[in-house]
Amino acid sequence: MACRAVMDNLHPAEQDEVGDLLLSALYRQAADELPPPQLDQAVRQQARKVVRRRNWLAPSGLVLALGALAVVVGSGAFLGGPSVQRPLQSGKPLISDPQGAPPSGLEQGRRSRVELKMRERAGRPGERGAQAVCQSDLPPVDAGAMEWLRRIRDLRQSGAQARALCLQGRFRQRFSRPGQGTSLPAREGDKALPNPG
Amino acid sequence: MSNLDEQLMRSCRQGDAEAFDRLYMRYRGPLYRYLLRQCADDDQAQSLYREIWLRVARSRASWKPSQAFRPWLYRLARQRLAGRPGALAPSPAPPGASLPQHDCVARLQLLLGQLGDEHRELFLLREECGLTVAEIAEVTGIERASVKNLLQQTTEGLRHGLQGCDG
Repeated sequence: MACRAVMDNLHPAEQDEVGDLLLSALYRQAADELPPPQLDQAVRQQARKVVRRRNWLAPSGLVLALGALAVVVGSGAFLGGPSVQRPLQSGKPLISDPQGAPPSGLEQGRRSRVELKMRERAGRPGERGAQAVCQSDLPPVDAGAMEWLRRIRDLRQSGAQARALCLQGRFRQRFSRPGQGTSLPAREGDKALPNPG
Repeated sequence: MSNLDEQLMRSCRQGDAEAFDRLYMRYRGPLYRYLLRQCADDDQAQSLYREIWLRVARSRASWKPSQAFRPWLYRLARQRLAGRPGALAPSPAPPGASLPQHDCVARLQLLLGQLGDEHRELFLLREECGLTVAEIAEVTGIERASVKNLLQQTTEGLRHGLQGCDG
């Protein structure tokens, strides 16, 4: 009753405001339902499990995934892939494709990009720079296959990719046996390599 | 309820289950009642409630740290509600049902049941979920001005139905 008397003395806009507040207060009294305890427990348990699972798409997970990928690539796991190099001087491929097929336009473009990258990484632009990369750091001609492989891997680990690629090409040229393809053996296959040295 | 929510959600994205628990405790009541008042029965509300929290846990990566958590949660809840045919059918209160004269709380609940779906939802988003007009507009996709008008109509209607309960 006291409230009614106060309301009557208010401006209509104020009456609306107070009316809304009273309605909110009344709604608060009406809103007391909570989820049943069993439901509460089940939902929390299930959701907690989901949250604990590492999310590979979340920023931290993505960094980890990319890191793992970088380690795999950096370890030379792709060392055995087909050669994409061409000699920089003669214009002939160091090693021909196993099938002997001429490179497609796309392949040519890819090879050019590899060459360009080699030149960029050598820090000396132009054909001469790339030749210098290829001619330097080469193991002695009589060095064994293991020594070549070790050099290639050292270069890969130190990030000198251009030199490593170049050595890899030379390695194939020197050590690939006729009729056995040109793929460079992976790290685990080192022991199976012939050692001409 | 802001800022802390976003901090908790950020931790939750990193796999912190404790942070999820805290968020859950903050929103379990409001979310449950939001669903309860809009579903045909308790079973449906409970099943949706479970689905929505699991959805929150699973799609935490899609939440952006620049986003406010509360509207994100209710947008998600609203999507689940809308995806359930027949969910938006609260226990009907017959239009001519006699309103209890002395129990104002029961009277309000009955009046809420008699509201149209849209009016009831907007009222709940404001009163139960604590969203601002701008946030309600964002969650529902209704223009701000329309949200304001609809909310005004709803509160006026409820106040009218509750006459005698203010003193």
